Amino acid sequence: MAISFEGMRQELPRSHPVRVKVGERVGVAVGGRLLEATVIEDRGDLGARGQQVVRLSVGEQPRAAAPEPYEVEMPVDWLQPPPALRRKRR
Amino acid sequence: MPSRALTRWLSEAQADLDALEEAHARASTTRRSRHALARQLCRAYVVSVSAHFQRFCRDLHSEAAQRLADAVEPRAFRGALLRLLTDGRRLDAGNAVAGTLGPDFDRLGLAFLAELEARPENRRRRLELERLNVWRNAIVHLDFALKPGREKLVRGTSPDSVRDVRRFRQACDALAREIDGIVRAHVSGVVGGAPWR
Repeated sequence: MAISFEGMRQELPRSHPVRVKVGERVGVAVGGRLLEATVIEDRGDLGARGQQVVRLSVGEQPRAAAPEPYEVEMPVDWLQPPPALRRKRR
Repeated sequence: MPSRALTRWLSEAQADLDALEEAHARASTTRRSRHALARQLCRAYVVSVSAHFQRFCRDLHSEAAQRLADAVEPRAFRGALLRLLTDGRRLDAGNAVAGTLGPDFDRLGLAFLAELEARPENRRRRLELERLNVWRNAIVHLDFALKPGREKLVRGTSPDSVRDVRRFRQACDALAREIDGIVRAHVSGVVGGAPWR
């Protein structure tokens, strides 16, 4: 994966330059769990201070913990590394 | 500061539409071969006006949803709110008409159509928007056998008339500014400050 997820947390300065691309796997914190999601659309710089907003499909992966897939738009600084990538790093 | 959605509508969208306007003007001659080209360009113009206006509405909705969620405490609830505001949004799959705009913008806490039509001139503009999208659907589905209600709605207009398309475009432009104003006032009131950052 070309991008680095290092530091992708809500506490980052909003001008953080990380961008994600359609097709990338990311992690989304939901109810205290980290779910895997896929970026399905780049919505452009519609977030606060021009931050990139992406449309995600959450829970489509077979082992995902979400009971059924859904879509949500989120700014990139709310995203986290996908669960699989986090496990490898431990 | 205007919304990014309106900025894009006023810049990128207008440039694209102006290019089609210019191409149509160049193709509009009395020669029959060029007449067919002008007709096709006019139909492309219809589809493009509809597409750009839908993108404006969708962008504005996304921008407002982001801003509203960003103001919510506790932070842990923001993702859940964004899901409620953007999952299954009608504008993601449908044209920007009353049947999509009303339910989607109402999710933000607005009585959207009532606010829009509080100004009488917007009723006429919304009618033009509905006509635009009847023709848009006829063009992209290659189905000009309109149902009676739709035929009645568009009677007297044509997707091959650049004058009609210009009128649709003008209505969309006026509606874009009106909708931007309605959403700006609403978001500003809810977050208690500047609507866009």
